[in-house]
Amino acid sequence: MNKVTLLIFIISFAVVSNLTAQEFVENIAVIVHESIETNLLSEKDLLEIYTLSNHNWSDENRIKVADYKGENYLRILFYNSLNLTPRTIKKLWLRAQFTGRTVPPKVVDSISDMIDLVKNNPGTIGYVPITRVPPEVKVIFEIRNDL
Amino acid sequence: MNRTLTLLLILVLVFSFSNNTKAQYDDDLYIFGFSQVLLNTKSVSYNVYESDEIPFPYGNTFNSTSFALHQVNLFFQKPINERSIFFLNLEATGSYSSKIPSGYLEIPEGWISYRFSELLEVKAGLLLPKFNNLTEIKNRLPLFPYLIRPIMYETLLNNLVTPEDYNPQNAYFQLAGSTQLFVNKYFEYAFYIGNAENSFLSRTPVGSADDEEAATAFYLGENMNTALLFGGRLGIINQYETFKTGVSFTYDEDNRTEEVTSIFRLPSFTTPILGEVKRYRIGYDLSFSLDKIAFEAEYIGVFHNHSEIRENPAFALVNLNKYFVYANLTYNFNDDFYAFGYSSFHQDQSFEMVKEGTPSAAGVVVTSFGGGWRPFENTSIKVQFLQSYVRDNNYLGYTIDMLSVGISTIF
Repeated sequence: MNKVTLLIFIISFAVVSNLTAQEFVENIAVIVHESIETNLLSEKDLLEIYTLSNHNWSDENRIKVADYKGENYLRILFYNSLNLTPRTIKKLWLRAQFTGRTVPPKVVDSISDMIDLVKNNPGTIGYVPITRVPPEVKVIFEIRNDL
Repeated sequence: MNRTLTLLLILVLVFSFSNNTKAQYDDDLYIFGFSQVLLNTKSVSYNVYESDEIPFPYGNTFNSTSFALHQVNLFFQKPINERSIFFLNLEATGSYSSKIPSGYLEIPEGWISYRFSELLEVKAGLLLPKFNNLTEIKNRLPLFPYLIRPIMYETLLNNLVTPEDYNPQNAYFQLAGSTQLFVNKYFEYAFYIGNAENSFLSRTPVGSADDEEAATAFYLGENMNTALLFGGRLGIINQYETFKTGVSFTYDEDNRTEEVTSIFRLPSFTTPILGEVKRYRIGYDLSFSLDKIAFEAEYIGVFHNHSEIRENPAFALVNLNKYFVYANLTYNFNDDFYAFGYSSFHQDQSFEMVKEGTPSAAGVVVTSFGGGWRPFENTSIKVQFLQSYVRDNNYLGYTIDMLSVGISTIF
């Protein structure tokens, strides 16, 4: 998807879902439960986690991946930054899920659901707009939105 | 009836347990699955040609149109601890009903895994082994662009081939893992052990006075052969799984202690009793995605040790070797629409149709093409045309034309 198409898609989505202009141009924070020992992830680490090839945090806790439902604009930006598309990741997760390789990623409807999930479940990793990060979670990676 | 009641009881218990634990994400029992329903119209024609053994040629054509609940799978997955998972797969296929009766209900997988690291994961229990790319996912229909799978993996076409002659059907213990070779390329391996092929399993009620096998079996489904299956796969994969290739191998024994009947073996229809024959399978698989194109292909070669059989002059020319090749190309117009085409060919040299007097290219060809539309997430509507026929054969002409439309849903 080129940047113009993506921008048109995001603006359309924002209009429909009443998002503020601030929310869709800001950077994305990758967040985890505060009990996770890891303080900083590399892009490679993040990719390994979201492609379900890394299953445990350094403190042995199981990594629980969280994501958004449907064509969420945050989702598209997030996977674009990892050179992935939601379709590629969906295919990869389905195979992992159907072969029992790992527990299925948890899918949420909204940013507030994502925050609640990460806040209340040790081992969970998710992502939200940087301005929505609550104090109870830890930011371990930041994705710049270049649009 | 008993099986249906048992299944219902299991489901009620599982769903009750699941609801009780829903709020606890950590310890959830995960239940998910898929179903595929289809409508297919097919025409099957065969012709037996005139030959020295068959002085009067004959043939017929049969047509049918039918709906079917092709397959429903329910998966139950329970994390036992941070590194261990229990996984159960419940499968009903062919509009399963014990009343009609139709189709079958099966538990093709029930295993526990322990992951020491990415380099080593141990699985114990009934499992689908890693052999080529498709064996491990052969019953995961939503992962495929088509409705009707390649003939070696398609339960609807199981009366045309015996899949266990080509693929290992299950294993009971598997070591597998992967390690990074270089940027974005991983080496993966698997080694497994299991029972020899399913036809060695005891299928006669214990205590049957008239069955020699049942007299020594302790339970139904017991492997009545001392040989076990040993196998493995070595491969390379990238992180996005958009490139995957590998070689696979197994060693076990082929059950030739009973007559095998097949229309493909003409004019006698049955294969002779040859005993338990040592067998090696070699596989090669390649799959990759490039922009909008996805390609996958595999080869399976099955080789037998004929030395003991051929000591008997009556079987001096027996050749049980066989092979299967398959390739599929999918073109994704966008995220929602795609088209595909695949072809496969297999040749079983134990059938008369490839014996003396028939061209070396004789075998069974399957050609198929179709497309799909994903109207919304987790649902695909698929359409597929499939033709299968016997190629270059002096005894038999056999053609299947099938048009299928179906819906595949993940839940």
